[in-house]
Amino acid sequence: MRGESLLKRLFWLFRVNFCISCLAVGGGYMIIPLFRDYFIDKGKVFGREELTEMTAVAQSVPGAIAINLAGLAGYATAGIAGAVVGCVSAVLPPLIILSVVAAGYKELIANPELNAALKGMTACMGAIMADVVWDMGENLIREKQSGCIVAGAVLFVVSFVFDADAFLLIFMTLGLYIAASRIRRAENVGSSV
Amino acid sequence: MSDLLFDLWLNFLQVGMFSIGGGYSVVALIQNKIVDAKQWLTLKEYTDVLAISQMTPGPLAVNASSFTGLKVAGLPGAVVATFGCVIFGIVVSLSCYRFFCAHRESATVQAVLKALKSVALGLIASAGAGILLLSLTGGENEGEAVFDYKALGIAAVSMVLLRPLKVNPVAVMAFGAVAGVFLY
Repeated sequence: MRGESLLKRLFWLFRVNFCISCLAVGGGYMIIPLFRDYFIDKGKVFGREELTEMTAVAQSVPGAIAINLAGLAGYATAGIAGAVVGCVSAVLPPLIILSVVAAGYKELIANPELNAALKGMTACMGAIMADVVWDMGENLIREKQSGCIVAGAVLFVVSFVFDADAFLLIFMTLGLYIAASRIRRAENVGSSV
Repeated sequence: MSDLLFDLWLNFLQVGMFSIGGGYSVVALIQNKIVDAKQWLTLKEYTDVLAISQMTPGPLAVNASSFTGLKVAGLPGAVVATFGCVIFGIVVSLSCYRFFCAHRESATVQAVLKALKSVALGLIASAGAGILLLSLTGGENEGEAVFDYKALGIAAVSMVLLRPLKVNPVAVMAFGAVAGVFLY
């Protein structure tokens, strides 16, 4: 996809994002393995390290991770125009489906088969998210950033067991990492003098 | 009409600005702004939206904004509310990502990226564990937690399909849906 003309890339982006967004039933996180399949394995637009970076940014800033990630992947594919197309094509399917469903949603919610399917899909979702975490961990090891896995495990415990505020966690982690890098640099400067 | 559209846009912009960390942190935020303060949805309608959101594609915040906008001001309302909800996150994540790419060799940017990767790993794991716990203990009766062995089975089979067998996640979700219909 990288060598194609801009118009062709934008068209590809719209098609792929629209499809991914239609398939991402069960919440925004479902989009991460689908991005891996379409953008890395099929489109070869970027690599796994970049997806890990984009996921990290999309998760840590405000807004829905799926939409932020669609914008970033669009940007990596075709610049700012790609970001706009990525965002619009990711938002359109839920917007259209909700507009159609809104009229008859009462029957939909009460449908026993649909609720049973939903229960099965929720269990599946847990497994898919475990897979996403595994993937990220594997990439971090490959990039020789195993420290992030240890920090991630601590953050998991603090967030899941103690139900800590995400905003607070993001800022505290940023502060600690930046402070550590400053101290390391100061030590290096000190030892070289 | 244009006042109402602007009001919708402004309120969902705020939902987008303050929903950080993903998962279900946004549930309380929307309830606070849209149900309690603006009263665009009743609490019953909001719980319905949560249910619809699980059955249809897309993040909860996007589904809730489309639904609310549609109810309050028709299709223009849905479009305005939805784009209001996503625009802040897109702009901030693009700005951050561009900045990180431009200053990749800086030690501070490297530290920030490592911090964000750690946070994303921890928070996604936490949200996943939450979903798994919900499906394992979500008994038929409210308040009465029953361990759900069928859900454990579905999750275990999904894990095998995903990792060693490398099955496409969409196919795995379809398996979950079919298994759900047969088991429950």
